[in-house]
Amino acid sequence: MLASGAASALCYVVLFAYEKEVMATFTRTDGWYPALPVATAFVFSFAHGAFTSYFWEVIGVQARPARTELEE
Amino acid sequence: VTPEAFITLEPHSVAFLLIVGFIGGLVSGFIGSGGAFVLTPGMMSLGVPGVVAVASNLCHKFPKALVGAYKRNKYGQVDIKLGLWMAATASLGMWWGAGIQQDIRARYGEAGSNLYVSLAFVLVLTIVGYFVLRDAVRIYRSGASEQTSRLARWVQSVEIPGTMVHFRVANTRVSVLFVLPLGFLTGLLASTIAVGGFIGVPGMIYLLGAPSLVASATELVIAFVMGLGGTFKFALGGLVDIRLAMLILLGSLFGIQLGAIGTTFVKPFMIKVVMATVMLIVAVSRALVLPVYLTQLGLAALDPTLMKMLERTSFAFMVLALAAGAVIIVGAMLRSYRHA
Repeated sequence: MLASGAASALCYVVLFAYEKEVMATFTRTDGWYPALPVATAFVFSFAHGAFTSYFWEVIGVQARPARTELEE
Repeated sequence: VTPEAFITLEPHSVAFLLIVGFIGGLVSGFIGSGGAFVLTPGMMSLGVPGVVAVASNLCHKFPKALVGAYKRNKYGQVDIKLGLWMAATASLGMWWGAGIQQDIRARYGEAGSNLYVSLAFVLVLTIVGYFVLRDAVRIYRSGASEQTSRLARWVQSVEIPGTMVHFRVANTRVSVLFVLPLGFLTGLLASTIAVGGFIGVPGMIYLLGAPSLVASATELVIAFVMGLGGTFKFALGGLVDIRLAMLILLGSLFGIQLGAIGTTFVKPFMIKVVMATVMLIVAVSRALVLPVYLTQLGLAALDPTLMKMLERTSFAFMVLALAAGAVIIVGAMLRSYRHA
């Protein structure tokens, strides 16, 4: 949890500390620049996704065994 | 895009994005979609141009759907094969829907386009929402479990050689000739009202015979594919505001985890209750602004003060739709938790 929390926090700190530079680079339409927002979204989803998953687990909100059957 | 297209972030805008992101994530973790109908107009009211709002919403949608699909797949609820079959034609539907939108805007202007989108909202959500609600009420009253609909039983009985596919998790064997048009309609609706799941999820349940838990989870796979493609398209034009997208994602990943966990707590028909509630309130919201667009097109005559009031009330109903969905989900989770 701590590692993913730190990774997630780092992502957000970097994004907003370099806000101007990031916006200038990420909105370029030449070369591979349009891939940057997509790649960033993936990185954030892994880091922050892992953190939020642990978060609810630590708080004690956990899933019950799944049931997906339908009656005929 | 000029630098003015990207707003300066104020504390209240950040708080708005985090809170709506969380609630939208909670609802989509539970029913497979939701949030966009509040987030996009919400960002526009913060001063974000429409096209940047749409692009930034899409850029938070696909990572959110990815996390949600991963989580619900762990619970055995995602039919990846069904999701990918549907996503294949959903992308075509999105592309075709965007073309229709462009034609309408070119011919009838912004008000014509708004009228078309709102009419689509009202028609689709009222009809589908009514059927989903009726089914949910029937299950609640009878106390029975979910059953395969008569329509789905017929679809499953249609044997078209060479097109039959068995979807293991959804526990249904149907011809892809039913799956592909459903995917197409999901994409078409997504490009029109931003929430394809309002056709996709009921379609998988009532047409293909998938359980509602599997349908709502599988919708996340379709949302991921459509969101990813859409983000690329807008990023090519430099229109994604990554700050807005990641701020929404910050709240929405907390929400989607909770919504996904929630599906394992509550009775499956609660998915239908939440979906019908959200759909019907959103339909009312869009119906309220129809006279405004008719006036802008010169087909009706409304007082400007009344028009402003209708627009505000309409947005309030959108927020109410999302909030009502979230309250039902959390309420159902708490009840189920206490009974355990």
